[in-house]
Amino acid sequence: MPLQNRLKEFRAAQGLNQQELGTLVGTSRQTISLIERGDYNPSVTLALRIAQVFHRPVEEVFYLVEEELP
Amino acid sequence: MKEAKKKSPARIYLTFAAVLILCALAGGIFGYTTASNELSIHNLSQRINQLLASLGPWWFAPSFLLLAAATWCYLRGRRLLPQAMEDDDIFPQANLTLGWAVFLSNLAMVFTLIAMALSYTSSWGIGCSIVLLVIQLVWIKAIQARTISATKQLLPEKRGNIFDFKFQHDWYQSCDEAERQQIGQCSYQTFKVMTLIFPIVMAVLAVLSTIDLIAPTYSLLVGGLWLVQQFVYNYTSLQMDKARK
Repeated sequence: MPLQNRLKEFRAAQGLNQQELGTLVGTSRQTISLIERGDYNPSVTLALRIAQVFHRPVEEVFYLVEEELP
Repeated sequence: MKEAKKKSPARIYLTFAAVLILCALAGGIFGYTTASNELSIHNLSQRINQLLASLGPWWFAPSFLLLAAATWCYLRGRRLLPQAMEDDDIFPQANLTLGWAVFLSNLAMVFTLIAMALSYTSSWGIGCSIVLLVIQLVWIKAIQARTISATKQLLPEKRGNIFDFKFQHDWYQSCDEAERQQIGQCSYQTFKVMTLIFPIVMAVLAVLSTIDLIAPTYSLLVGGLWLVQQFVYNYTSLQMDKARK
């Protein structure tokens, strides 16, 4: 099941850019960009830190999507 | 992420046996052809060596092309920098373009050293090769230093000076989890490819050394490189296991 996220949406709501969010959670802008594009699944620690910044439960920021069977 | 398809054990063993037989056949044919055409292979080898040497300083042309392409990528990446600092959508493009500049300059370094090794015997003389070598080495280092500096503007947390012998260590230390995972994947891919290439090259060298076309030193050199690769990979892995205990 692919992991998806609402990072971009929550980041925009908080008025943060990728660099600012990266600094807040202790990671690079590159990683935030990769997560937003779905090219990288963050570690549990990083996912929890991101959720903490948004003051939301982690499963609201990151969620699994059922794959459609052919 | 793609999940690996499950193969039946019978299919795995059959494929392994088929590859083994095919390799043995190819080795047999290659060995027999080499031994029965020893003289023509020696002649062919001499002609190839003459041809390689006759190109002389032209061997430096691929590096110049790669360096020109690397410079173009760097300039393009630098032009995108002001926008990339502000716009999150431009950032990946700028980062990728600068990554290409480093990639092409790394390739140029290899081609430069190949050119140096192959061009010195030409009639142009070794002086010309040394001048071209110095020009290219300076260009490579300059473009890499400029690209790293531009990347640091884009990613301010990055550390390390390209002229410092600890550059790779410092750069790695400033990478976060996603970047370290990427470095791990790239290293694994390199290990996988080289683990395939080394035995093939060793087999070819073994056959060619039977007709004295290749000196035993070459086999020792390639074998030594293979040994270093295996040792570093396995020893590092063991050390990491030990640290986790």
